[in-house]
Amino acid sequence: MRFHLRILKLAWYAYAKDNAALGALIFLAIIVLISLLAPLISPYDPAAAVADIAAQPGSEGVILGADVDGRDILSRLFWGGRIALLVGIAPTVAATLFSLVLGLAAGYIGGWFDQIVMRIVDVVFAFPLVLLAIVIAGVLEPGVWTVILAISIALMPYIARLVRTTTMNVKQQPYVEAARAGGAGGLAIVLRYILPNMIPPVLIFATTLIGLMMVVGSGLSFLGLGIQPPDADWGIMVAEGRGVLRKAPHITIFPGVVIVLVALSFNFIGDGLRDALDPRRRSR
Amino acid sequence: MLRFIAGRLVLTIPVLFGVSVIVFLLAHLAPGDVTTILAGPFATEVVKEKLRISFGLDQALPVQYIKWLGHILQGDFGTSIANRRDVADLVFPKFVNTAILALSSALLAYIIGFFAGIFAAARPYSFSDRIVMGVTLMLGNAPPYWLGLLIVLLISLNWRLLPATGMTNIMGGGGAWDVFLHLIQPMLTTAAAPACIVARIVRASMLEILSQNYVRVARAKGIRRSLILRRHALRNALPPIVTICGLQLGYLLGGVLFVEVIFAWPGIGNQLWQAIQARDIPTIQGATLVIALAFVVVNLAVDAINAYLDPKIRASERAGAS
Amino acid sequence: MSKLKFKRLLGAVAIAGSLAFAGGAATEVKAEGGTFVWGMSSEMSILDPHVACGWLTTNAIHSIFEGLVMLDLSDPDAKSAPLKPAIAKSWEVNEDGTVYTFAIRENVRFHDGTAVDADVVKWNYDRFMDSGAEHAFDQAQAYLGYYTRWIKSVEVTGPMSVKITLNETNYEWLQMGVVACGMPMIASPTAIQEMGNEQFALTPVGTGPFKFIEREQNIKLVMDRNEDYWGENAKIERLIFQPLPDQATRLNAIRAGEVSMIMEAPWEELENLKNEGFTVTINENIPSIWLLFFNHKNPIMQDVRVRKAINMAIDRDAIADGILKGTGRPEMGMLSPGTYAYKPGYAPVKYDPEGAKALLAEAGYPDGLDLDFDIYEYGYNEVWEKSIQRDLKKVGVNAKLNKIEWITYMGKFLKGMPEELHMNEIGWGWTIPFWTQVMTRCDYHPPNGFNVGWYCNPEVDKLFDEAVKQKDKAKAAALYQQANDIIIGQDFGYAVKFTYKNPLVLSPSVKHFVNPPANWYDFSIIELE
Repeated sequence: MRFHLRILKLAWYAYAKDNAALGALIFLAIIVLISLLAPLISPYDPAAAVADIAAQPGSEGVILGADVDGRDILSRLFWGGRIALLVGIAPTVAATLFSLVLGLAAGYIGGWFDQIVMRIVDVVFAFPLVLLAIVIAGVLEPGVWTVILAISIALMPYIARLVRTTTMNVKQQPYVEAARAGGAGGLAIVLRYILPNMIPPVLIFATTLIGLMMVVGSGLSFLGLGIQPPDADWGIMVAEGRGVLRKAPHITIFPGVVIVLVALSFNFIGDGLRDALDPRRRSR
Repeated sequence: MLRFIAGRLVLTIPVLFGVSVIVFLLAHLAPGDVTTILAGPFATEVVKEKLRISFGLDQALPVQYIKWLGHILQGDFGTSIANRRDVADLVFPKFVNTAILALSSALLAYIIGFFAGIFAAARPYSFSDRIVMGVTLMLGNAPPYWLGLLIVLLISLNWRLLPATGMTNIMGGGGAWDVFLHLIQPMLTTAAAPACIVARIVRASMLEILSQNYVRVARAKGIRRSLILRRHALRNALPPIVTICGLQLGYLLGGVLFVEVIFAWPGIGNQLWQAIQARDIPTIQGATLVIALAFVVVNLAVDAINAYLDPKIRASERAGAS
Repeated sequence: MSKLKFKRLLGAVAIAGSLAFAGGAATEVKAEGGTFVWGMSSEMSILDPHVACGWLTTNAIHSIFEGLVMLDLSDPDAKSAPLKPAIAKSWEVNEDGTVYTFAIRENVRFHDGTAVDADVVKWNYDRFMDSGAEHAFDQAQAYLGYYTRWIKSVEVTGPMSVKITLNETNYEWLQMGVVACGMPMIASPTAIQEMGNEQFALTPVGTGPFKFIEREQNIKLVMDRNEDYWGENAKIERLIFQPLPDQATRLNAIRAGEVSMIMEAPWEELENLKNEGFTVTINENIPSIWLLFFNHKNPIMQDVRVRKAINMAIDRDAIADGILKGTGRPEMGMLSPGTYAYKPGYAPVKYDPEGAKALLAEAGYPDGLDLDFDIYEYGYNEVWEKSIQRDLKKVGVNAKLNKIEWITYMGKFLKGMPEELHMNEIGWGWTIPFWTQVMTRCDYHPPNGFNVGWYCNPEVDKLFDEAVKQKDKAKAAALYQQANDIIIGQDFGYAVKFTYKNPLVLSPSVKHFVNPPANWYDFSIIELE
């Protein structure tokens, strides 16, 4: 246990040395905080018309202006953060947990079980991720849970493959074979040796994916297949502004910029984690 | 090489089978009874039942599947519910349009990504490196639908330089030049994210190789930097780059859906979106199947190119490790 | 990769590219009159007039086909579109309005060259009403039931003469044939026999001012001027309907000069577009209203006080001006504008939230009540339903909006409301007041009609029965208005909300476009500069 703590500490030092990753982490922490506190800190009700339609930024009372229904963009960005983060994180976590179990089982048990699981994974893998998410969301009733389900399914094979490959690699390590020879049970080996080795690569991968999935989720909303108006969602905000793109570009630009920044942050954090957890790179 | 490809093809068959099952099942996830809409407001149950039978909706699922698969294998993708025409006639011409957009975007992405990556790798950690990498990071994370809107706002609406919609001038254009003009904006939008990812991987691979001992030796011997870059670094950095490029094609086939909607590009993504809005299940199935097939073929091609560039893969394949 | 191989690869890509471009090359249009492109908000249905539905589709059908009679759409200020002769050059009606004798116009030819005569007309009527006919089309018979249910017989009385006998007097019957869904127009028998029903719906052949050229679904429908038209030829050479479902894309397209007309532009942009030189035309006499159905099978809604209170609680001005930016007009009556029976400004009650609250309290709901409200997902209707939801909230009614995808909604809607549901909605109307009958008559309860809220008042039906027997439009209108005053003014059987004037944006080069009192337009009179 002590040993693990020391590694974590080292990793954290390495991570903290990386300015971009640290900055991204702080930025994200602020975004998460804002989203959680949205009901308390939003200047206005995100669904209520409070200003002139498409009011310019800096107009009275609305710092970032108002959208086509006269709703405060800042408040909607705050509230939209909840959905964006949920749509980014929930499917990634769900797909990761599911894939972890599936991939570990497939990799460890091997044989026909592995074959069946991996062939199923191959099939899902044969669809481009965005296409599969769009089609699943498209045939189901639109809504936040549909988005989460659609993205989870589409994402699953990517993580499952990573988990399974890592399991196979670790399984063949001498110390695992030694443990097995020493009479350790399957579950014990998985929990004691394989799972800890799994955490870093999966964690890195999943973190990078969250940003990407946020972009995909907002895209589904943009197409009208995801979150439904009047709920505030960054993708919907972009979609709602495009009718008045020329007259009031700020309605489209602000939510887009926020999506880019948040997605970027997850990317930086993923990179930072990789550098921190990879012993080879840590030395640099 | 041929044996490698043949082996891969055999492995693809069960995957295709699975793909067909998923595409088939999509139809049965969907809510709503299409016959009501088809038969019109005053239709009797008899008329509706007839329609249901003509669409084969009255049979058991496995029977429907086997019949459906049989038709698909003969190139019959069924009849579009919204358009009452063969789905194949609807989907294939549009797939060609999508292929034009996707391939030209991929080419553009590779070219931009490649040069940006090499440019940055040649002067690592310099100011220009940081600028290039910063921009690629931003663009790489930008939602394609958002980027497309900004591009069309600037280029078409404010500067009035290029046409905003479609693939040809609908009022009587046509010809390669017309198509090219219409292609530029969607192509830029589609290429942005993949270009950035390619740039990053090119830069990373180049830096990795440049830090290898044999490159250091070459440089110590006084060989010019550009020659080192070209002769040593590029060639050795190629395999991982090709893999990423292949993956990008897949990403592109997804991202292109958004771009087609925004620019009214008459591609399969636009068709799919309209079919989804009309709940036109056979068309949704046909479009999904065609894109998935294209994706499988792209993956096969990438595998083959990789194996060609990197003999180790071929060897391991032959040794029987799957 | 060696240089040589790379070059070869490039060559292959170039060849593939140029092939694709050659395949995509369209024909050059140089003929006089120019091309008019309409950027539509969605794709049309099939183009067989006997089984086609939806107003976008109707626009194409009316350009390609003609019936015995057609609507004269050339006067934007007409309150109600008059009939004009088409395939029939004239017609006579007998004394009690049950026998119609049509004189078929000579020298009318279909786009495929087939000549039109009395047999052709009979052949078409057999197709959509005689189940015994060899070429009977059961779907067409279902679609056109509203029109053919009045017909006793169709007889050929001469090479150029057709007699249609009705079961009973109905002076609106002739105009029923030019309303919306399933149209009794005359299609080429040669084409239908050669192609079969399915193919004909894709490549239609009629007699209209435009002939079908090609259709790439979800991309474009191309029609060219019919140079051999029996009447005055269309001014424009080519007419293209282009589905552009994305609102922003449509807006970009008209701004970039790529289309001549768009619909459903964002309301906020209309003023800007005018300033940029575009013409924005609205349809003051559009025969269409948006209404809520109350479920008269539901115990809560059976209380007239509740229905009246809801009528009083809806702030119609807020929708018409606030949301629709003046492209809407508050309405309360069940008579659609664009018909001769319409009564402008009909309002038996005023917007009065306090009064509504009091009325609800009197009805036994001093603490408010919860209502279930089905709405559909189709375009923009949710915006105003939300506004109504807020209005109702102010008087203590919690309306739960059940948003349902359009096709599923239609399926549920047509079955009629189940007892537990309180309200649902539709936006609709015909160019004849008979539409009000279809929505309110006791014998038009589903599955026989669209009275999905199960409203029934025999007194109203009696007035309706009288109205269709009036040859004098003024008398008929008076009867309709009397019926309307019972349906709304006394029973508050529905909550009518507003008329949406359906603004269209036209490029500056379009001249002589007429926005008539109908749901579709006459494209043959448009000119391009």
